[in-house]
Amino acid sequence: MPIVNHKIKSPVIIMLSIMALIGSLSIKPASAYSYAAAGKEPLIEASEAFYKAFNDDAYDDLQKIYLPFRKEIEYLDINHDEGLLLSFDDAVSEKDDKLIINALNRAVIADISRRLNAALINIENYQMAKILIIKSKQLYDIMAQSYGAEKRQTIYDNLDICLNAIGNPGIFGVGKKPVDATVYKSALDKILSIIAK
Amino acid sequence: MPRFINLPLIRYYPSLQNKIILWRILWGVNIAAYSWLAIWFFKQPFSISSDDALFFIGGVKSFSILEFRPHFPGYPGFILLAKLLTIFGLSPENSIRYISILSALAIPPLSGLLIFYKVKQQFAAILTFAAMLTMPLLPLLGLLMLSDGCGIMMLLIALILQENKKPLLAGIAFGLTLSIRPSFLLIVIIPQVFLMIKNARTLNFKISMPLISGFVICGMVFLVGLFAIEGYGLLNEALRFTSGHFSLWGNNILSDNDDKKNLFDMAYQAPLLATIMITLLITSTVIAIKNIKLKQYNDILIITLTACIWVFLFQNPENMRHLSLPLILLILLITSAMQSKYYMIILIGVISIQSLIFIAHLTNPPALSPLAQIAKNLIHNDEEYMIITNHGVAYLKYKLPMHRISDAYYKNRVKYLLKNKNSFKIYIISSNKIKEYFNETIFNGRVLGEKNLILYIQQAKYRHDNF
Repeated sequence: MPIVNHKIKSPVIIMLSIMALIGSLSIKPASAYSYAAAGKEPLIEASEAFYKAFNDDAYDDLQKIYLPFRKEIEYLDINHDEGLLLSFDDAVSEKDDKLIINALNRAVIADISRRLNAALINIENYQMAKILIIKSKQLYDIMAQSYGAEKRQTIYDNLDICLNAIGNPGIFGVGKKPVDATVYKSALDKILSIIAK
Repeated sequence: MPRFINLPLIRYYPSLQNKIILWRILWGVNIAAYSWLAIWFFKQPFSISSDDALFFIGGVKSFSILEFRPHFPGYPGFILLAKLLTIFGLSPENSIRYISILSALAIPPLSGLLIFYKVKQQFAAILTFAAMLTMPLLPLLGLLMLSDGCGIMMLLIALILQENKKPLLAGIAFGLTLSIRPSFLLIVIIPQVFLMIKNARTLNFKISMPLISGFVICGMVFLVGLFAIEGYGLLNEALRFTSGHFSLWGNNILSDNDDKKNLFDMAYQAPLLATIMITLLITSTVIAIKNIKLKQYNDILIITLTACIWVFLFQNPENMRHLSLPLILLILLITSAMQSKYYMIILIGVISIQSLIFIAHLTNPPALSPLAQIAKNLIHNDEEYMIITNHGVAYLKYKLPMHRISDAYYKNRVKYLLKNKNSFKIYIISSNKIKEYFNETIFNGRVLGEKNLILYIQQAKYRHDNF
């Protein structure tokens, strides 16, 4: 490379970089982290939107928040919790925050049961079962605080039992653990019986 | 032809050449201070300072990224190192703790060694050692139980191997660096690619091929291993986490969202550190502009530049630990180009300021992390509380299972909770001042860069008794 070019170019590059650095000081990137933030979870996103509307006294927006999300509720109603759709529709049209929160909790429970049951059906597919259980756990995390200490812990413990019961194929067979569908089923029943109360 | 600078200091001070006794005194002082730091580290009680540290410990017990043991991207090299220590009988908690301390302690000697190989000067090595030893964020790296210190240690090892013309080992070490600290990806790759392109005409394949193959093989081993453990769920998690890192997690709910900290706020909080940083930045800029042709520190220059841009632009400025890599590299850049006595005087000035912080740190008695102090404070209470926090949600859930822990990330839910009737006493943990709450207790960080946490009790006027 000719030295003349080199002489001119490099300081220019360095100056530009320093300007970029100084410019970057004024940028305000995201602050504290919550790794547990559950990503694309329609239920969690909708509930945050509902709570925002309650906080801002924007009760006229409730219908607007509910409509795009209604199909999720419809699906849960048809497959897992009959009557959920009706009570959600009523709660939104009555613009009652307590009723909406109850309906949201009921939907969360239905979704947790959907995932845990799906994991039972797919129990031989380790990866899928694992993701379904972990996703249930993330969903449960946001409503765990509404239970008392004992119930809350029992549900967490049983979720862990479920995770263990799906076994582990190991890495190329090393560390392999067998599947235990009976244990899974009893832990699942326990979770569902406690969580619904 | 570039000028080689093996003897600039000796050029200025020919009499230094023979003063072996002076070197011995300087090394003696350094080693005494180093031992003091080591003793101080080991006297600190075990305490977890963040969820991430808890996740790492979980990872050593049973590795599963999807279950946050540890969080994405898994830091497999770091976990593997900790697992190796457990073979010698250490508990997972202690293995993470000792790796953190030992890698922080490895930074000064490794930096000194690197500079010694680069400029072949005893005095430059001593200065580097002293500057790293007193680096204000070194105690933080040692105590946090995170992968930062370990990643920097491995990067230094890789640079030393590269300097010594051991390309295969250097490539493997660069790969290990990424397995320990994947966020160094651009800092490792951009400079190497840049140097290869820049020296394309004179590129020696006997050096570059082993470097690349070592790096790729090491990287592939870890990637394939991770994929074998986690399966396709890893890809989902990668997407969720990467997009979250860049766009989603802006999280100071209890104060308003405008209250996020930037680097200027950090400078205001830690003025001495800011002074050191700015001095180093200006000095190294001058060096870079004046001596652009020098081969000797071309690699350090470009690595430093990449690191500064990456950290200042894309890392969370609230975590001061992120600044330790640019600080270390800036010091290396200055000491590897010690051509003029002015640079040396500036560096000695920096070391003097740093020494003040060093002494201030080391005269502090051993203490628990703010998070552990809060947990200890609340653990003895039988009454059930609601604790709203965006610091250490997982840690507090684990440590205080009897209380209701709410993740302040869900800010609308939390605001609703606070506005409405509830039957619990509500505690709020925040690193920011919140005006409308009182009864605050401040739990101080142990070292520079560790956030103070404030524990609030919700003000009486918001409390109602029948939910």
